[in-house]
Amino acid sequence: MMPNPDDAQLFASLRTMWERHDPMPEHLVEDVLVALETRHLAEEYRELLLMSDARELTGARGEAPRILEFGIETVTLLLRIDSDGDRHRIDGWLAPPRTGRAALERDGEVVAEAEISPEGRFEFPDASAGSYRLVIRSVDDDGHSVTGEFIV
Amino acid sequence: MSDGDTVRNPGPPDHGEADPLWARAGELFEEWRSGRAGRIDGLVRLVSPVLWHVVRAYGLGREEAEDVIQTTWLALVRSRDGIHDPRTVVAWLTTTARRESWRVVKADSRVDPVDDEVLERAGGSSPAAEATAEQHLDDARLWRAVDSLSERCRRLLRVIAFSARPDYVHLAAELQMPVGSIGPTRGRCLDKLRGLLDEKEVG
Repeated sequence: MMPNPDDAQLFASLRTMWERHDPMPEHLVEDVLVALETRHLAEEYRELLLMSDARELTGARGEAPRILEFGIETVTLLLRIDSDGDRHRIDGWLAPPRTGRAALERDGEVVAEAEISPEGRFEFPDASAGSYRLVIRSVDDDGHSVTGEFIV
Repeated sequence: MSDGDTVRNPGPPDHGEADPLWARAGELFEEWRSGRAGRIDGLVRLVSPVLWHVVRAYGLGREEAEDVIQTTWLALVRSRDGIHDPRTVVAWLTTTARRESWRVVKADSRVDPVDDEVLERAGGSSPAAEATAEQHLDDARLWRAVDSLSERCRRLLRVIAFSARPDYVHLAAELQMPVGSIGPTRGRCLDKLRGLLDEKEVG
């Protein structure tokens, strides 16, 4: 579209001039990334599906931890549930990792909340038996996404 | 947004794919779409400065321009699967940004592309820019020459300068000129600019 080399040179000068006189605000990229993270996260997690639910066969006894895997194409969530009588410890890993908050909901009410570490880890050390939803929120996110329900 | 049609048929070959920015953007986009979430950061850093100039060419104020750019990126996230050829992602983004800019301009009743208000909103340079310009005489001369051009010329040249391959059909609609006249108008604007530069050199 720019067959004339002189034109190309003039356009290059114009670009330099506009970049100097009307530069993009420095904070713009960060603002966009925050907006994307918020939106993107919400869209990804809305569709998280339970992919597997298995016992980890570390020992011969019945208390082997249970591993639940949720995922879609771009995100995986692993939950490891360790049970001791009627108390249950839930450890979670998000891959790829991202920070935010994880909330454990039961009958539509939040029963526990946990920070998600930069490594994508979070934990609920003491959950009672029952049916739960796990809600993941990114930092500053109004919207949220929900995994399928699971039973502890 | 249904921009796929324009972007899927990007016109004459090519220019775009040979451009390092387009090639790198295509790679980042493809990697992001196939699950490497962090790649979107690189894509945003790479292409946002281009989008900034394309959007500002439409006479939007700085805050409006920022909003349009954010909307454009969110649209990309929503439409990622509709973009068949990753190498067209820059075209998709610039087209979307131009349409959104045009929509904002129209919604604001600034339908006349040579409106004085438009000129004022986009035309002013910051004091810092003026100071910098003094240290770069060629740059300042070019700035003054561009400032003397019609709004239409300024807009057209700025959009073309920052779009490797603008689609002339939509550009024509937005600039309210026939498609066939974009090429000649571009030529006339460049001639006029060269004339102004010569004039100022003599004077």
